[in-house]
Amino acid sequence: MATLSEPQRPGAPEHIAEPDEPTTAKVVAAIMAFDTGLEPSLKAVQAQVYEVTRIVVIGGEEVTATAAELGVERHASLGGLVQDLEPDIEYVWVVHGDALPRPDALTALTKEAARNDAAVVGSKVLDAADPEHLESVGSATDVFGDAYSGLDEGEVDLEQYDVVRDVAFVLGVSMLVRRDLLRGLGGSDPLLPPVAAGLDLSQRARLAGARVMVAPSAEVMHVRSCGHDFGSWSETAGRMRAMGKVYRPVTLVWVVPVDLLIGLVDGLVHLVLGQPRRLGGFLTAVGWNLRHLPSTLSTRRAARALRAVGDEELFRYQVSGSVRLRELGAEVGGRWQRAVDDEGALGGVATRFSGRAPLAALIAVFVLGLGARGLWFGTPPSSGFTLPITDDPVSVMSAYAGGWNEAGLGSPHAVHPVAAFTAAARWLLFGWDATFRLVTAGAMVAGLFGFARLLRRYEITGPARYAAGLAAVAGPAWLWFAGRAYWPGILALGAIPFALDAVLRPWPATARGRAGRLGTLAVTFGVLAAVTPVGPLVPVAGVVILVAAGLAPPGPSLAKSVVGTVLGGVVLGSYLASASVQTLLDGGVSFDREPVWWMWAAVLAASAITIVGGGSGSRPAAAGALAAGAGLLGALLAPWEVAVASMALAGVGVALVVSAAFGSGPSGGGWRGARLAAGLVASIVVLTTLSSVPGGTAGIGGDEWGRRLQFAASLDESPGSSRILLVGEPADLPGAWRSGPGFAYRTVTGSTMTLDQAWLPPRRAGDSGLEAALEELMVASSLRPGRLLGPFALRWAVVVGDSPFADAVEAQLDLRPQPLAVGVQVYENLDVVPRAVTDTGVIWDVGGGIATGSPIDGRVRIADNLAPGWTPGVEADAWAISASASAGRAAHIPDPTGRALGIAGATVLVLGMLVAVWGRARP
Amino acid sequence: MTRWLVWAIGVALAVAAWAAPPIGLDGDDAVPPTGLPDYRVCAMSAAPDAELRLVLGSDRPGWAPVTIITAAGSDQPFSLAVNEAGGGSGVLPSSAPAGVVVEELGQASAAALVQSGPTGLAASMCPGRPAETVALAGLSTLEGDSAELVLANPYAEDAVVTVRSTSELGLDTVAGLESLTVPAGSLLTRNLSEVLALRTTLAVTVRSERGRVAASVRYAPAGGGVANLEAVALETEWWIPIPEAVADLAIVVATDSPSAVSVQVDVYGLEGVIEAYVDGEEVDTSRLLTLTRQDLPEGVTAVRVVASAPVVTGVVFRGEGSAAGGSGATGLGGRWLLPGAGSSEGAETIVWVMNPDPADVTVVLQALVPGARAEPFTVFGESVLGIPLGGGPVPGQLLTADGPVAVAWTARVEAGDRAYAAGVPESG
Repeated sequence: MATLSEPQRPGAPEHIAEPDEPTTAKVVAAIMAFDTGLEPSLKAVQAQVYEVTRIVVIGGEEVTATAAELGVERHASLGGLVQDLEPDIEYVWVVHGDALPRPDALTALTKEAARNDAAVVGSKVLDAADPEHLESVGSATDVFGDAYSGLDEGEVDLEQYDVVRDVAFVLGVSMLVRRDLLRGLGGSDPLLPPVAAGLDLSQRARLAGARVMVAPSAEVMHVRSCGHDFGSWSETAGRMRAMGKVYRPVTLVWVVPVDLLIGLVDGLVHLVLGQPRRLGGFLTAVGWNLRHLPSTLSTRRAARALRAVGDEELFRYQVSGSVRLRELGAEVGGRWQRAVDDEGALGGVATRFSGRAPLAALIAVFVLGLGARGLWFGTPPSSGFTLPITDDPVSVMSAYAGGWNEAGLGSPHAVHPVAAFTAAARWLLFGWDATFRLVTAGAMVAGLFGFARLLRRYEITGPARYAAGLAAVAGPAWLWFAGRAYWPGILALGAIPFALDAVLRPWPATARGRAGRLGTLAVTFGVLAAVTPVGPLVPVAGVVILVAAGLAPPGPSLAKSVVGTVLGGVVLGSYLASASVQTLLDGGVSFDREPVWWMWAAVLAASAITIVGGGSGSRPAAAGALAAGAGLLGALLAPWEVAVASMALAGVGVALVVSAAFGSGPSGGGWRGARLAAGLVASIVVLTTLSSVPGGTAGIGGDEWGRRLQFAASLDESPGSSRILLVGEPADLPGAWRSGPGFAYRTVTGSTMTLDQAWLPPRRAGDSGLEAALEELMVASSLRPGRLLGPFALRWAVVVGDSPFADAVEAQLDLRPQPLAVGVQVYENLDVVPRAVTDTGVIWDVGGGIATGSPIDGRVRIADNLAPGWTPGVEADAWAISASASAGRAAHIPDPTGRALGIAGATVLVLGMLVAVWGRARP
Repeated sequence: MTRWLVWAIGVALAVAAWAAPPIGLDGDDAVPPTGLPDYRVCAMSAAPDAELRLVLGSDRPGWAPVTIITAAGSDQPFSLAVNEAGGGSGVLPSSAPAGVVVEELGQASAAALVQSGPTGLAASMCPGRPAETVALAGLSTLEGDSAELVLANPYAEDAVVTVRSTSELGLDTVAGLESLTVPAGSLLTRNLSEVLALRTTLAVTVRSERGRVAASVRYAPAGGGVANLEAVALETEWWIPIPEAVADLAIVVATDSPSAVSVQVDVYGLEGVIEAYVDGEEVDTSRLLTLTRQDLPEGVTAVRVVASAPVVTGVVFRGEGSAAGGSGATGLGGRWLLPGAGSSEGAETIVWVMNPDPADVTVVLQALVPGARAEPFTVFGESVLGIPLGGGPVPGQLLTADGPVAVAWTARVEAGDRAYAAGVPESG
């Protein structure tokens, strides 16, 4: 900390310049008080060869006593002062209260002002603690207002800049300003910090046609107790405000967004460099400016009134490009250079890398975003089980809770819980179209950071955690899901680290903490249960594996996982009540299961090498291998829902192995060479995450079915009044499928294939009837296949690829080929029977288990599977529903048990979330 | 050690997953069953003053929906009764060029169109689902001859077809017959005697590039009479019973194969069978094989044509004021439907049963009317038996045999014109 003393440059002869031409202009010195230590500055001003007329301290009430004590007057603001000054005062010398001007400083200032007809003249500012070092000799700026002094850090003053010249701005540490100009400008902006205040005043002065110059012979020592910090958030905010005041709109239109972008980049890079405050400062500055926008606009109007020149006059004193980006480049380059110079060895780089977790997180998020960019910026995919979330979330939620499931030919069986879960998300977001994107992004990011957090438990730190998280959510496990376009897999990978973490963390000591933990268990296990009914068993299996590897205590963790499983079961209650054991296990889904074996071989190899290398990573590596192996076995051989859960477990294994291989580091003990090799192999696993980058849709197909079925939506006069028959190879069809005579098929109710229809409910009479109709169609090469399909309300048949179905309907009378979609063959059924039609041929609207239309004294046939719960006066019409049409309405009454269980499940989930948040907060 | 044990278990599980047989997709190896269509499609053009009668033979009594397709489009279907014996008959409302679709006949069924009137008598069998390539052979377009091609597309999809012909001049490719679009539920006619004039022997191939069509040619030679030659799928074996009294006979063999197809003709006559009477003759898209009465031995009663690749045979009988023709039977069988046989009042109808085996065969012929008497006949080995029909008009006949036979029938009116049609074996 420098102390104020008589300003004297060490080793330099006493320097008192004589003015070439004596001036007689009256000057008032305005000492800007930042604290109460004004005396040295006051004395230095009083000691000026060129005597001032008055000395006024500018400051708040806190300096009143000091001013009185020093025998000088005080004024609250510079603006206020200039309003009160006598007309014969020509200049106001603004001096910071921590500045120590040399005795001849004012002489030099007044002389140069007079000689150059300058309205603002600044001083050369030297560091009071080390007067050899230059702080400022006037500055240029870039167009964004960032100061560019041209000085190197700690640059010694050799009088190399001692040239009187025009500059973009001068520091407010010492500046002589013409009184009339200062009065017109309203003084300096009291909201601005020192540097920004100088910039602001200089720019406004220049805009008013005044010259802004620096007089290097007017030397001032600066103690820097004024809070003078170019990089502070307040200076950033002030710079933005100063910019906003002076530029014309045409300049602001591009300057503001570019400035924001630069600030963001600068902040993010500094975040990566371990300086998060820069980003925080930038964001704070933006917020500050938003808050003070009205005041900025009003001062801008005032400045405009004085404008005498255009923005070009400001540009003349600006450097090209961005000072901040230049500095950023220099800083990054410097760091790299130091890293190379200082270390040069792998261990050094690794050591540096270990401190780069934010960089790794950023890269991981970037890779995830890049690999799935098509999901954010293009049409969302529509293939396999990656399908749009319904437009009618309430119906789907109802269908989960005892209502009517529209999938297939209709069923009272609950829709798959993941469909209800995503429908609820869309409902909560007021039907927002981007819900699918949001849920996907949320799951990806949650998985990435969830795994990173989970792995910290095993002393794996630094970027390894994020590399492992990336490999878990976008590596071999996800690629297996993506190969089947099984989108719910990403939800499983997103939820499982949190479920495991909730199980593995010690049981809280407080009741509130315990409640919060229970809430966390309910939410995480509930989400896993939504993805697959056996999902809650994954953490149980994970715990067993971790226990086996000695990474978790057996008792408490298992107990917590059992509690979580029970809670997950409660969330899933409605589905469990309506589904058979077989449905719970296979979901009615069948897939080719083959994984990309070499990726898994790499995972197992990395685990083996890590164990060979010894150190702290060997146990997680072993546990990871077991999780991966067990997961693979389940994924390949178990029924589908179990396979999904198993692959999620395998994803945990990938995370453990990769983190262990990377995470031990060269200083982690054991055989260093083996660990380096393990890291190399693990890198291959991590690099698999890049395989989605070329396609850009996270490995999932594109918008196949949205595009293919677009015609149906366009031509559907009454939504939901008919169905579409999809025919092709199993892998070509969206969602689940049924096996037909030589082809796979499924139906779509309405005109859009949505996620809730992806899972076909268990077979009922109508489904058997449709199967029989298709067999008859194929066996007899029927002349009227449309008549066979018509009773199922199948208005369209869409055939993908070469199918025996297409051959069978090549020569027939009532399936008219229509060129309505590219890449598929579309047939319009001329013999279609509307989904809900009365005896008299009146078509009713139908959807969500409700059919409505004109009442008639007769019956209405609804081409949905006959099932209990339909009213009124329901009879069987073969496999379909025949209801009384006299009321103009026929509906399925939701099963009360299913409804109650559904509501209970939702309640547990919502309460769990609330309690989890409440429980985590500090009381 | 624990960590290695845990790792080893993991690897063992992964290896087990790798080694396990993959889970198959349910039904992904299913083979679509095939079956016979339960409908018949015909195409025919009749003289304006002719009566066009649709005759049915079916194993499914009841009502058969019938749809008539004209150049203007499809009419509303009407129903034709099929009696308990499986026969049905009805006169179509118009004799203009038409396609006819008869549905719900059952798989053991047959249908034919029989036209009768002042201009003569003709019969045309109605195939089931038309093949991608169908052909007919034996007509001529010499001066005074008339040949009108009818392409009927009863289906929901527009058909695109290319018509090619082969004559003694070689392969004819006529621009006007290339890539013809036959609209869905409609028909097209082309006058072959104009676009392919002055051919002594002509075979026509209709290839569907998209959709399917039924095709036939109404053939009226200069000498009088009328015949309706239906286009049929190509086969490698044909059986052609030959009526005794026909003087002017031509058997034409054609193919759509651009490469040479070897043809062998076995002749059946009073002396038994002469195998490979014609052997080593080749046909292709530019070459026909034509056998006239003069080329065949005296007393021939039937021929068998065997080819190395699918061919079509056409048999045409021409005489003073008479013409008849058809394509022969595509195989042997023990149960035959002969729709139209005996349906023309006043016509002399004979059923020709060919027994190619040395052993005698007993056949039973029964009219397709309720209460009809079943009459047994013996057909000696390697011979053809002509069974004249008596009694009033009936929709057709059902012939059953205790051995494999090939069957055709002829009808002749007093004015001299004849009709010829092969039977339809139960298999198709």
